[in-house]
Amino acid sequence: MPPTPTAQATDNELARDALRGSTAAFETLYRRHVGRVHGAVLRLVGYDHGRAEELVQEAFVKAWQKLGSFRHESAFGTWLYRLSVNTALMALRSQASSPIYDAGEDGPPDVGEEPFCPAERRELEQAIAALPPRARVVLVLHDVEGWRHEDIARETGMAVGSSKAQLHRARGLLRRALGERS
Amino acid sequence: MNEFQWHRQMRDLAQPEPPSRDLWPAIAARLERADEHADTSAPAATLHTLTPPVRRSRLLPWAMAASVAAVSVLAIGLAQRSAGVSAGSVAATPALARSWQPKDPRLSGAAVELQAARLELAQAMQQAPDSPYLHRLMHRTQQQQMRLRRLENEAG
Repeated sequence: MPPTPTAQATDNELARDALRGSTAAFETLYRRHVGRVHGAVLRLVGYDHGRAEELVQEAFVKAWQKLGSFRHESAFGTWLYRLSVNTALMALRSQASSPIYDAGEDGPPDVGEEPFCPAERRELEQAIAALPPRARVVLVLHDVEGWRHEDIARETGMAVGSSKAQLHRARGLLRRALGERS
Repeated sequence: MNEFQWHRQMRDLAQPEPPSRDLWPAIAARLERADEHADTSAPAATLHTLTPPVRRSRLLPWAMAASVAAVSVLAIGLAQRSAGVSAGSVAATPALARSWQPKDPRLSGAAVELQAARLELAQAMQQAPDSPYLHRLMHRTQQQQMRLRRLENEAG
Protein backbone atom coordinates (compact mmCIF):
# COMPACT_ATOMS: atom_id res chain seq x y z
CA MET A 1 0.00 0.00 0.00
CA PRO A 2 1.61 3.31 -1.07
CA PRO A 3 2.09 5.82 1.75
CA THR A 4 -0.31 8.73 2.19
CA PRO A 5 1.21 11.83 0.59
CA THR A 6 2.18 14.68 2.85
CA ALA A 7 2.23 18.36 2.08
CA GLN A 8 6.00 18.32 2.59
CA ALA A 9 6.69 15.59 0.07
CA THR A 10 8.66 16.70 -2.96
CA ASP A 11 7.27 16.34 -6.45
CA ASN A 12 9.72 13.55 -7.14
CA GLU A 13 8.63 11.64 -4.05
CA LEU A 14 4.99 12.07 -5.01
CA ALA A 15 5.74 10.99 -8.57
CA ARG A 16 7.36 7.80 -7.24
CA ASP A 17 4.33 7.08 -5.05
CA ALA A 18 2.01 7.74 -7.97
CA LEU A 19 4.06 5.38 -10.07
CA ARG A 20 3.40 2.72 -7.44
CA GLY A 21 -0.31 3.34 -7.94
CA SER A 22 -1.12 6.04 -5.37
CA THR A 23 -3.84 8.24 -6.80
CA ALA A 24 -3.66 10.33 -3.60
CA ALA A 25 -0.05 11.26 -4.46
CA PHE A 26 -1.10 12.02 -8.00
CA GLU A 27 -3.92 14.22 -6.75
CA THR A 28 -1.41 16.22 -4.70
CA LEU A 29 0.67 16.68 -7.85
CA TYR A 30 -2.47 17.75 -9.71
CA ARG A 31 -3.28 20.39 -7.08
CA ARG A 32 0.26 21.73 -7.14
CA HIS A 33 0.54 22.07 -10.88
CA VAL A 34 -2.94 22.49 -12.32
CA GLY A 35 -2.72 26.30 -12.29
CA ARG A 36 0.35 26.49 -14.48
CA VAL A 37 -0.80 23.71 -16.77
CA HIS A 38 -4.29 25.12 -17.19
CA GLY A 39 -2.96 28.62 -17.77
CA ALA A 40 -0.70 27.49 -20.60
CA VAL A 41 -3.36 25.31 -22.23
CA LEU A 42 -5.98 28.05 -21.89
CA ARG A 43 -3.76 30.52 -23.76
CA LEU A 44 -2.98 27.99 -26.48
CA VAL A 45 -6.64 27.24 -27.19
CA GLY A 46 -7.51 30.91 -27.33
CA TYR A 47 -9.10 31.23 -23.89
CA ASP A 48 -11.75 28.63 -24.64
CA HIS A 49 -12.35 27.57 -21.02
CA GLY A 50 -14.36 24.45 -21.76
CA ARG A 51 -11.80 23.17 -24.23
CA ALA A 52 -8.93 24.00 -21.91
CA GLU A 53 -10.50 22.07 -19.05
CA GLU A 54 -11.08 19.09 -21.34
CA LEU A 55 -7.45 19.14 -22.47
CA VAL A 56 -6.13 19.55 -18.95
CA GLN A 57 -8.04 16.43 -17.93
CA GLU A 58 -6.62 14.65 -20.94
CA ALA A 59 -3.11 15.81 -20.05
CA PHE A 60 -3.33 14.53 -16.47
CA VAL A 61 -4.67 11.16 -17.61
CA LYS A 62 -1.75 10.95 -20.06
CA ALA A 63 0.67 11.97 -17.33
CA TRP A 64 -0.63 9.14 -15.13
CA GLN A 65 -0.15 6.66 -17.94
CA LYS A 66 3.31 7.95 -18.81
CA LEU A 67 4.68 8.32 -15.28
CA GLY A 68 7.15 5.56 -16.02
CA SER A 69 8.77 7.69 -18.69
CA PHE A 70 9.47 10.51 -16.21
CA ARG A 71 13.18 10.10 -15.55
CA HIS A 72 13.55 12.57 -12.67
CA GLU A 73 16.20 14.38 -14.74
CA SER A 74 14.04 17.47 -15.05
CA ALA A 75 11.56 18.90 -12.57
CA PHE A 76 8.27 17.05 -12.52
CA GLY A 77 6.44 20.35 -13.12
CA THR A 78 8.45 20.97 -16.27
CA TRP A 79 7.79 17.44 -17.55
CA LEU A 80 4.08 17.79 -16.85
CA TYR A 81 3.96 21.25 -18.41
CA ARG A 82 5.61 20.01 -21.61
CA LEU A 83 3.32 17.01 -21.78
CA SER A 84 0.28 19.26 -21.34
CA VAL A 85 1.40 21.74 -23.98
CA ASN A 86 2.03 18.81 -26.30
CA THR A 87 -1.49 17.49 -25.62
CA ALA A 88 -2.95 20.88 -26.51
CA LEU A 89 -0.81 21.14 -29.65
CA MET A 90 -1.88 17.69 -30.79
CA ALA A 91 -5.51 18.64 -30.32
CA LEU A 92 -5.01 21.83 -32.29
CA ARG A 93 -3.17 19.94 -35.00
CA SER A 94 -5.95 17.38 -35.28
CA GLN A 95 -8.36 20.14 -36.22
CA ALA A 96 -5.86 21.71 -38.61
CA SER A 97 -7.78 20.65 -41.70
CA SER A 98 -11.12 21.84 -40.41
CA PRO A 99 -12.57 25.14 -41.65
CA ILE A 100 -12.47 26.47 -38.08
CA TYR A 101 -8.71 26.18 -37.99
CA ASP A 102 -8.26 28.22 -41.14
CA ALA A 103 -10.91 30.79 -40.38
CA GLY A 104 -9.62 34.31 -40.30
CA GLU A 105 -6.14 33.42 -41.56
CA ASP A 106 -5.98 36.49 -43.76
CA GLY A 107 -7.55 39.20 -41.68
CA PRO A 108 -6.66 40.82 -38.39
CA PRO A 109 -8.57 39.56 -35.38
CA ASP A 110 -11.62 41.57 -34.43
CA VAL A 111 -11.46 42.63 -30.81
CA GLY A 112 -14.38 44.98 -30.85
CA GLU A 113 -14.68 48.70 -30.92
CA GLU A 114 -13.61 49.48 -27.39
CA PRO A 115 -10.43 51.58 -27.06
CA PHE A 116 -7.35 49.60 -26.11
CA CYS A 117 -5.78 50.12 -22.73
CA PRO A 118 -2.51 48.26 -22.07
CA ALA A 119 -3.51 47.68 -18.49
CA GLU A 120 -6.57 45.75 -19.56
CA ARG A 121 -5.30 42.26 -19.66
CA ARG A 122 -8.63 40.88 -20.70
CA GLU A 123 -8.59 42.82 -23.93
CA LEU A 124 -5.17 41.54 -24.83
CA GLU A 125 -6.35 38.01 -24.11
CA GLN A 126 -9.29 38.51 -26.41
CA ALA A 127 -7.00 39.74 -29.16
CA ILE A 128 -4.75 36.70 -28.75
CA ALA A 129 -7.78 34.41 -28.72
CA ALA A 130 -8.90 35.89 -32.03
CA LEU A 131 -5.57 35.15 -33.76
CA PRO A 132 -5.42 32.30 -36.27
CA PRO A 133 -4.52 29.12 -34.35
CA ARG A 134 -1.02 28.57 -35.75
CA ALA A 135 -0.04 32.17 -35.26
CA ARG A 136 -1.52 32.14 -31.78
CA VAL A 137 0.35 28.97 -30.80
CA VAL A 138 3.71 30.42 -31.89
CA LEU A 139 3.02 33.78 -30.25
CA VAL A 140 1.93 32.19 -26.97
CA LEU A 141 4.82 29.73 -26.85
CA HIS A 142 7.46 32.31 -27.83
CA ASP A 143 6.34 35.61 -26.35
CA VAL A 144 4.30 34.42 -23.37
CA GLU A 145 5.81 31.07 -22.39
CA GLY A 146 9.36 31.99 -23.41
CA TRP A 147 10.09 29.05 -25.72
CA ARG A 148 12.82 29.18 -28.36
CA HIS A 149 11.92 28.83 -32.03
CA GLU A 150 13.84 25.55 -32.19
CA ASP A 151 11.65 24.06 -29.44
CA ILE A 152 8.47 25.40 -30.99
CA ALA A 153 9.45 23.96 -34.34
CA ARG A 154 10.16 20.56 -32.82
CA GLU A 155 6.90 20.39 -30.88
CA THR A 156 4.66 21.73 -33.60
CA GLY A 157 6.32 19.95 -36.50
CA MET A 158 6.98 23.13 -38.44
CA ALA A 159 10.28 24.48 -39.70
CA VAL A 160 12.17 27.01 -37.57
CA GLY A 161 11.72 29.54 -40.37
CA SER A 162 7.97 28.96 -40.35
CA SER A 163 7.89 29.49 -36.61
CA LYS A 164 9.65 32.84 -37.01
CA ALA A 165 7.34 33.81 -39.86
CA GLN A 166 4.25 32.88 -37.84
CA LEU A 167 5.52 34.94 -34.91
CA HIS A 168 6.09 37.93 -37.14
CA ARG A 169 2.62 37.51 -38.57
CA ALA A 170 1.02 37.05 -35.15
CA ARG A 171 2.66 40.16 -33.77
CA GLY A 172 1.58 42.14 -36.81
CA LEU A 173 -2.00 40.94 -36.52
CA LEU A 174 -2.06 41.62 -32.84
CA ARG A 175 -0.69 45.14 -33.21
CA ARG A 176 -3.21 45.85 -35.93
CA ALA A 177 -6.00 44.43 -33.84
CA LEU A 178 -4.99 46.51 -30.87
CA GLY A 179 -4.61 49.50 -33.17
CA GLU A 180 -1.19 50.47 -31.80
CA ARG A 181 -3.11 52.62 -29.38
CA SER A 182 -0.25 53.43 -27.06
CA MET B 1 3.97 50.50 -27.42
CA ASN B 2 7.71 49.83 -27.60
CA GLU B 3 9.35 46.41 -27.71
CA PHE B 4 10.09 46.38 -24.00
CA GLN B 5 6.50 47.15 -23.08
CA TRP B 6 5.29 44.57 -25.55
CA HIS B 7 7.42 41.80 -24.08
CA ARG B 8 6.63 42.76 -20.51
CA GLN B 9 2.94 42.68 -21.27
CA MET B 10 3.23 39.31 -22.96
CA ARG B 11 5.21 37.80 -20.12
CA ASP B 12 2.66 39.15 -17.66
CA LEU B 13 0.14 36.84 -19.26
CA ALA B 14 2.18 33.82 -18.24
CA GLN B 15 0.51 33.50 -14.87
CA PRO B 16 -0.81 30.29 -13.38
CA GLU B 17 -4.55 30.21 -13.90
CA PRO B 18 -6.47 27.49 -12.08
CA PRO B 19 -9.57 26.18 -13.83
CA SER B 20 -12.90 27.61 -12.74
CA ARG B 21 -13.94 24.22 -11.32
CA ASP B 22 -12.13 21.33 -9.68
CA LEU B 23 -11.15 18.93 -12.44
CA TRP B 24 -9.80 16.26 -10.11
CA PRO B 25 -13.04 14.25 -9.62
CA ALA B 26 -13.38 13.87 -13.39
CA ILE B 27 -9.69 12.94 -13.76
CA ALA B 28 -9.90 10.41 -10.93
CA ALA B 29 -12.98 8.85 -12.52
CA ARG B 30 -11.17 8.56 -15.84
CA LEU B 31 -8.14 6.95 -14.20
CA GLU B 32 -10.41 4.45 -12.49
CA ARG B 33 -12.35 3.71 -15.65
CA ALA B 34 -9.15 3.25 -17.59
CA ASP B 35 -7.79 0.78 -15.05
CA GLU B 36 -11.08 -1.10 -14.80
CA HIS B 37 -11.25 -1.32 -18.55
CA ALA B 38 -7.70 -2.59 -18.70
CA ASP B 39 -8.31 -5.21 -16.03
CA THR B 40 -11.61 -6.62 -17.20
CA SER B 41 -11.99 -6.45 -20.91
CA ALA B 42 -8.92 -5.11 -22.62
CA PRO B 43 -6.21 -7.26 -24.14
CA ALA B 44 -2.68 -7.17 -22.80
CA ALA B 45 -1.71 -4.40 -25.21
CA THR B 46 -4.39 -2.13 -23.78
CA LEU B 47 -3.43 -3.07 -20.27
CA HIS B 48 0.08 -1.91 -21.09
CA THR B 49 -1.24 1.41 -22.31
CA LEU B 50 -3.55 2.25 -19.45
CA THR B 51 -1.93 1.00 -16.27
CA PRO B 52 0.94 2.84 -14.56
CA PRO B 53 4.25 1.20 -15.40
CA VAL B 54 5.13 -0.29 -12.04
CA ARG B 55 1.75 -1.94 -11.72
CA ARG B 56 2.29 -3.33 -15.19
CA SER B 57 5.70 -4.61 -14.21
CA ARG B 58 4.21 -6.49 -11.25
CA LEU B 59 1.86 -8.34 -13.56
CA LEU B 60 4.36 -8.77 -16.34
CA PRO B 61 6.23 -11.83 -14.96
CA TRP B 62 2.95 -13.67 -14.52
CA ALA B 63 1.70 -12.68 -17.91
CA MET B 64 5.02 -13.79 -19.38
CA ALA B 65 4.86 -17.07 -17.48
CA ALA B 66 1.42 -17.75 -18.89
CA SER B 67 2.59 -16.81 -22.38
CA VAL B 68 5.62 -19.09 -22.09
CA ALA B 69 3.35 -21.87 -20.91
CA ALA B 70 1.02 -21.37 -23.83
CA VAL B 71 3.89 -21.37 -26.33
CA SER B 72 5.41 -24.40 -24.64
CA VAL B 73 2.10 -26.24 -24.84
CA LEU B 74 1.96 -25.61 -28.54
CA ALA B 75 5.61 -26.44 -29.17
CA ILE B 76 5.66 -29.59 -27.07
CA GLY B 77 2.35 -30.75 -28.48
CA LEU B 78 3.58 -30.32 -32.03
CA ALA B 79 6.94 -31.92 -31.34
CA GLN B 80 5.36 -34.93 -29.69
CA ARG B 81 2.78 -35.35 -32.40
CA SER B 82 5.43 -35.33 -35.10
CA ALA B 83 8.08 -37.37 -33.31
CA GLY B 84 5.74 -39.59 -31.36
CA VAL B 85 8.02 -39.53 -28.34
CA SER B 86 6.90 -40.10 -24.80
CA ALA B 87 6.79 -37.06 -22.57
CA GLY B 88 6.43 -39.01 -19.38
CA SER B 89 9.79 -37.80 -18.14
CA VAL B 90 8.61 -34.19 -18.14
CA ALA B 91 6.27 -34.81 -15.22
CA ALA B 92 8.96 -34.97 -12.59
CA THR B 93 7.88 -32.36 -10.02
CA PRO B 94 5.84 -33.91 -7.19
CA ALA B 95 3.27 -31.07 -7.19
CA LEU B 96 2.79 -31.51 -10.88
CA ALA B 97 2.83 -35.27 -10.73
CA ARG B 98 -0.14 -35.18 -8.33
CA SER B 99 -2.24 -33.36 -10.92
CA TRP B 100 -4.21 -34.98 -13.70
CA GLN B 101 -2.02 -36.71 -16.24
CA PRO B 102 -3.35 -37.77 -19.61
CA LYS B 103 -2.86 -41.38 -20.56
CA ASP B 104 -1.85 -40.32 -24.03
CA PRO B 105 1.91 -39.64 -23.75
CA ARG B 106 1.67 -37.11 -26.57
CA LEU B 107 -0.42 -34.84 -24.32
CA SER B 108 1.59 -35.24 -21.11
CA GLY B 109 4.00 -32.39 -21.79
CA ALA B 110 1.18 -29.97 -22.48
CA ALA B 111 -0.59 -31.05 -19.29
CA VAL B 112 2.51 -30.44 -17.21
CA GLU B 113 3.06 -27.00 -18.71
CA LEU B 114 -0.52 -25.98 -18.13
CA GLN B 115 -0.46 -27.23 -14.57
CA ALA B 116 2.79 -25.31 -13.95
CA ALA B 117 1.20 -22.16 -15.31
CA ARG B 118 -1.81 -22.74 -13.09
CA LEU B 119 0.37 -23.10 -9.99
CA GLU B 120 2.27 -19.93 -10.82
CA LEU B 121 -0.96 -18.05 -11.33
CA ALA B 122 -2.31 -19.39 -8.02
CA GLN B 123 0.81 -18.02 -6.30
CA ALA B 124 0.35 -14.67 -8.01
CA MET B 125 -3.28 -14.58 -6.95
CA GLN B 126 -2.27 -15.05 -3.34
CA GLN B 127 -0.44 -11.72 -3.64
CA ALA B 128 -3.10 -10.02 -5.69
CA PRO B 129 -6.35 -11.88 -5.03
CA ASP B 130 -8.53 -9.15 -6.50
CA SER B 131 -6.73 -8.81 -9.80
CA PRO B 132 -9.26 -9.44 -12.58
CA TYR B 133 -6.35 -9.83 -14.96
CA LEU B 134 -4.94 -12.81 -13.07
CA HIS B 135 -8.42 -14.28 -12.73
CA ARG B 136 -8.80 -14.01 -16.47
CA LEU B 137 -5.47 -15.74 -17.07
CA MET B 138 -6.41 -18.46 -14.61
CA HIS B 139 -9.74 -18.97 -16.34
CA ARG B 140 -7.98 -19.21 -19.69
CA THR B 141 -5.50 -21.75 -18.33
CA GLN B 142 -8.30 -23.86 -16.89
CA GLN B 143 -10.09 -23.76 -20.22
CA GLN B 144 -6.93 -24.99 -21.93
CA GLN B 145 -6.71 -27.83 -19.44
CA MET B 146 -10.30 -28.77 -20.20
CA ARG B 147 -9.54 -28.67 -23.89
CA LEU B 148 -6.66 -31.01 -23.28
CA ARG B 149 -8.96 -33.44 -21.48
CA ARG B 150 -11.41 -33.25 -24.35
CA LEU B 151 -8.60 -33.93 -26.79
CA GLU B 152 -7.65 -37.04 -24.85
CA ASN B 153 -11.25 -38.22 -24.70
CA GLU B 154 -11.63 -37.71 -28.41
CA ALA B 155 -8.40 -39.60 -29.06
CA GLY B 156 -9.89 -42.43 -27.01
